[in-house]
Amino acid sequence: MKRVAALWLVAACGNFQDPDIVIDLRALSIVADPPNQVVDISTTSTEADILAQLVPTTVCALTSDPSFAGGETWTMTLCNLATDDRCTDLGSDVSPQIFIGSGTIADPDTASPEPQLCATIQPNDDLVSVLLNYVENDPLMGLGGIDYGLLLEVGDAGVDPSQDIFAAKTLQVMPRIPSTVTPNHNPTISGMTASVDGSDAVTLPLVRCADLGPTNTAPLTVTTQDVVRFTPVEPPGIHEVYVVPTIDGGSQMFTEAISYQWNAGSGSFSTDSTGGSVDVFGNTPPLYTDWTPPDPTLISGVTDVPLFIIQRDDRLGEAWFEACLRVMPVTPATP
Amino acid sequence: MLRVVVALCVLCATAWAQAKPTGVVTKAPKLVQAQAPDYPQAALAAGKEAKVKVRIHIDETGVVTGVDVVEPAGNGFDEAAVAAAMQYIFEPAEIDGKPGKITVETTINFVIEKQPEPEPAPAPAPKHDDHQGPPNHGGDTTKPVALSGVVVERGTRKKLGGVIVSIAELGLDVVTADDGSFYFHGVAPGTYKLLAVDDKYDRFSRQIILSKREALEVRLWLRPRGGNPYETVLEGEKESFEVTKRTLTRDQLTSVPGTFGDPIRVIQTLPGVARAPFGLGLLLIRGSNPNDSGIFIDGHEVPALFHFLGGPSIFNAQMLESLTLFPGGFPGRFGRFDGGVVALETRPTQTDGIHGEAKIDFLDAGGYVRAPITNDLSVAVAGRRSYIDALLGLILPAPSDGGERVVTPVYYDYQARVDYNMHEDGRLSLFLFGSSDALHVLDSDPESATSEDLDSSTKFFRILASYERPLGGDLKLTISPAWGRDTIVLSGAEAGADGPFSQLGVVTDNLSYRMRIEGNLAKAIHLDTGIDMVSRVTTYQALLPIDDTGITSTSSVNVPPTDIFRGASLLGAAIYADLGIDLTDRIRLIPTLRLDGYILDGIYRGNIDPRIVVRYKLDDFWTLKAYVGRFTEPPEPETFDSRFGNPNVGLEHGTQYGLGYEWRPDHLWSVESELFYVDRRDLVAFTDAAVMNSDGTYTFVNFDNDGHSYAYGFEALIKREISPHFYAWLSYTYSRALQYSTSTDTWHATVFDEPHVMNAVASWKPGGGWELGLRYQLASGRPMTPVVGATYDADAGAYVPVHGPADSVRLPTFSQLDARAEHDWLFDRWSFGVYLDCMNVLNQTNVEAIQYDYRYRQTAPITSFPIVPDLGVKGTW
Repeated sequence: MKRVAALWLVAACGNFQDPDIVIDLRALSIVADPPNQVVDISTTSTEADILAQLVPTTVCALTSDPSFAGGETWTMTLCNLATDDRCTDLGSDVSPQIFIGSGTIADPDTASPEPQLCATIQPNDDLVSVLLNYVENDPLMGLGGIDYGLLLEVGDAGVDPSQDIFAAKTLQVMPRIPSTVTPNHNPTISGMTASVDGSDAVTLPLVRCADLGPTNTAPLTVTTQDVVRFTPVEPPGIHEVYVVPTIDGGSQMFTEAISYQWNAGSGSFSTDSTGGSVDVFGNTPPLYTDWTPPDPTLISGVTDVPLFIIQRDDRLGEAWFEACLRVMPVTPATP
Repeated sequence: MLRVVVALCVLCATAWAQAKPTGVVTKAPKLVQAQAPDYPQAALAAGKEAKVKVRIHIDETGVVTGVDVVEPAGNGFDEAAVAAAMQYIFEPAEIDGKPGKITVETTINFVIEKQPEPEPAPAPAPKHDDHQGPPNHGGDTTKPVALSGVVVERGTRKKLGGVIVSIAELGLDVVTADDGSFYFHGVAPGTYKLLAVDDKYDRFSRQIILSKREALEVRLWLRPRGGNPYETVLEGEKESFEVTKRTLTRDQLTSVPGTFGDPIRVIQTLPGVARAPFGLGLLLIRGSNPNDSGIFIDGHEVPALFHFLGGPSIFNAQMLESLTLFPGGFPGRFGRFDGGVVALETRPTQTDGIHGEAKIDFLDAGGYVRAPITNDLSVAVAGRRSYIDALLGLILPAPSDGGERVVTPVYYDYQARVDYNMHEDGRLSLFLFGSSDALHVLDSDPESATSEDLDSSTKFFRILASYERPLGGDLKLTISPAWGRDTIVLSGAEAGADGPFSQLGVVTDNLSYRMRIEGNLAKAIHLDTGIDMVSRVTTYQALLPIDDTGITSTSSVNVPPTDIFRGASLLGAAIYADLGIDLTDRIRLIPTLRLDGYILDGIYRGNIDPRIVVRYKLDDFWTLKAYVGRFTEPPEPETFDSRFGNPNVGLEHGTQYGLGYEWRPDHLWSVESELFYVDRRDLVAFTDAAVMNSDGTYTFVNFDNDGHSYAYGFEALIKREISPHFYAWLSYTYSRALQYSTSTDTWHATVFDEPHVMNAVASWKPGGGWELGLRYQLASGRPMTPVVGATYDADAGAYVPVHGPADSVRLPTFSQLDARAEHDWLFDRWSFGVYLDCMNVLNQTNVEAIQYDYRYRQTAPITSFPIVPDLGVKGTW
């Protein structure tokens, strides 16, 4: 269907940048650990009772800007994104905003080891004010979970802040209703395989280009005439079974679907999102994607291309993985 | 030698006006005695010729009570024409089956014909004055018929009544009967020139030779002036019950450039109607949403009038009599909508022989045939099918080896009608019509792990029965039951699967019944009352992966499809009455009361809608009008479903106000304008609110009646009514439509708000079989909400736009010129035409929407249609 639709729409579509390819400042992933928390509540529970059950949450972000040589400045803020989509309604009692952290990191594309863009959310009264704001605005009063948002503002160091970009991540505190509700865990993979032009799959080293060195494993090397199929290897039990309450007082059980987002520094993907839930036609989406290296005219000599894989589950769980692809330009022989 | 020929073109009436404004002319007046006017001697001496157009007032006995000169010629011609016309005697017209007053218009031609010296007359001719028989018999009727014949129209074989047939050498004139027949008695053998004259046809002249042994029978083929004149409309006086109605005739519905013959698109050129994006056939009347306006065929509601993707009308134009737009203040017989109404009146079949039409263009082919079964029973059938599916197969790229790619959009429609004329006992008809739009897309590729097989179809049909008959007094009764079904199916599966993986089917069974009594209770009181009942049962059958927990999911949850069966029923019964009271010769008051009762899934809701219209006739040309009325609309069935909707959702209400005037300086031109204000309240709107039950569980409200909108504006129409060679109109609408947003607590423009809409339409038949037309549209761009930034949603891997104020900016102004050219060739028994209908001839780039890149930084316009030529051929017989 996508192919047919594309045939019809190609004439009407603008010549936009390919979202799969990272060419300037991008926030690609935000991972919270833990991604959600479950608390026991009762009609007599107080805010202090709930606070006592919460643990600090670490939040880290993956960013990239191949067009800028330098560090990045960042700020993280908590708010209720349902009513304040940029955490900018500062000073308003409608939507409290809680400053979490800020700083400057080294160039995320070239610095080694990888700079950490991280902050910690402490369970305190500030967090409670955001949670309460959500409950007050939720028709179900938090029955399905109390969502609170984290907003990341990031920009290239020394550049006009008006050029900053924004990314948001939802975190959640769930009441243990029903009693079988369990907290989520961030997903992971056992590894990643790569198959070049249909050859036997090999393990793809999950090493950043910036971390390559004489002592590290050599990256996967391909030519500009190859097509590489990447397939994540999922460990057993990655698809967690979980329970959610229903509004009629019952519960329903689901099994997590795991999806993958693919980004690279150049080239193109056959599809930028794989895995996930069964589509409306009944297709179980494949996990793999096919990557075509950049045209030889677009690179100068042997080029290392960064690869970013973002893995997500149904319940705000997320993980990212990075790899490096070494591309050798080959010009097709003229007949 | 000069010979004076005064050509009487009586009964070539181009329009008539009933004395009773809402009656139906069931029989045209028939000229039984004509008087040739005296040629003004001074004009004759000066060699002057003239045409005098007159309006003849005929009473219920057929006597001419007055003659007005419509287009004077001077030089004594006007007086001569009036004097002659006052001597005419008619068989009276019948209105609603009874003799009634009527007015006809005709042209009396004064022609000086140069004749060669006549050959010696073969025999003394009987004197014209001796003729005592019917007007289609001439000569000495005591003698046998020597020459007889039938006058028919070229191309259509329509038999023509009222045509003057003359034997020039003998000075014998007859007027053909309704069946086109004429007879000359006692004409001696010899050579004669036979003339046939009618102001709508080219003059006919033919030499005939009468022998001694046998009578001669001839068929005279008259060619319409210009080759293919518009079929002019017979309609009542403009003054009527409806405060504002705009009626288009069949010719106007199918010849407006850029519409490809789609009546709905023609309606979109009238004032009060906003332009629909992408050429879609949406009805956007006075700021209302498309589903707030109703489409009625012979009084029964239908779901649509056009095929998918802005395709052509689902109705063969030959089946249509007229199409009327009520932009507001519509009469009580229409209900269950608070926007406007489009009413189609279908065309009864006729017993005038076998006729038909076939049409082929790039998109589809269709035809129409009607035929008499007996003298009183006739039948008509029509149909159309597209062949876009075949064409697509030629242009779509082939799939890879082992793969399959099929895209088959198919639409078709059909109509069949039977009419039985029971004369004084009334008329009975049965009408079946329906439409289907289907799309099948199959895409499989052996190199892909996924495949898609999509089926979608939208179908509906209706069976309408109608019985109408005169009642006592001046009343007419119409009884009309109807039954039909609307079906929507959408299913998806992997290629080669045994059955659908997901599916949605919506079936609505419609049963409706209308009874209407209409006519004059007294000289100054007109009644239109009746019953309007409808039963609508909607069933939903779905196989869908619905997360029914009611808990907001954070991303795409893996939910297996489940079978869902739901149903919703609407039973509506209404009684209504419009009472037209002529308080004086100038003031007409029309109070209306409509009482509606509904049972929505077993829960009763009642409603009273009072309305009042005042029309004040300043003089023969100017009329002022004002109205205020309440209009009520039931909610859509899915909104009162107990699971996905709200069983307690109530009726929507609108109050419409209007103030305007009409100016009709003559029978061809009219100017009208109107100020309007529409206040819509209790609109059904989605809400994410939930209520906590006493047991601690929750129930989602889903829908409530908190919606509120209003629209106001001004509209104007300058119209040149259709005549044999030309019609045109210029419409302009200023309109603002705003709705209240509960989420932002602000008023903002509705999605279809277009402050300025102008349409100019003109079509001309210059002669020689040509028809040329232009349409120009100019409209404000629709409002849109600006995107001022974007935030990357790390949980979804996609950017979420940050919006500015709702609907605070507009798309660029829309401008488009369409053109149409058609040429018809007339043969005796049929006609053949070639047409080119070209949309957007200047290839103007019009922006219909804005698309954004993945992070809302770059924009690109989504434009409307480029230049779209549609070449077709048609044959009519």
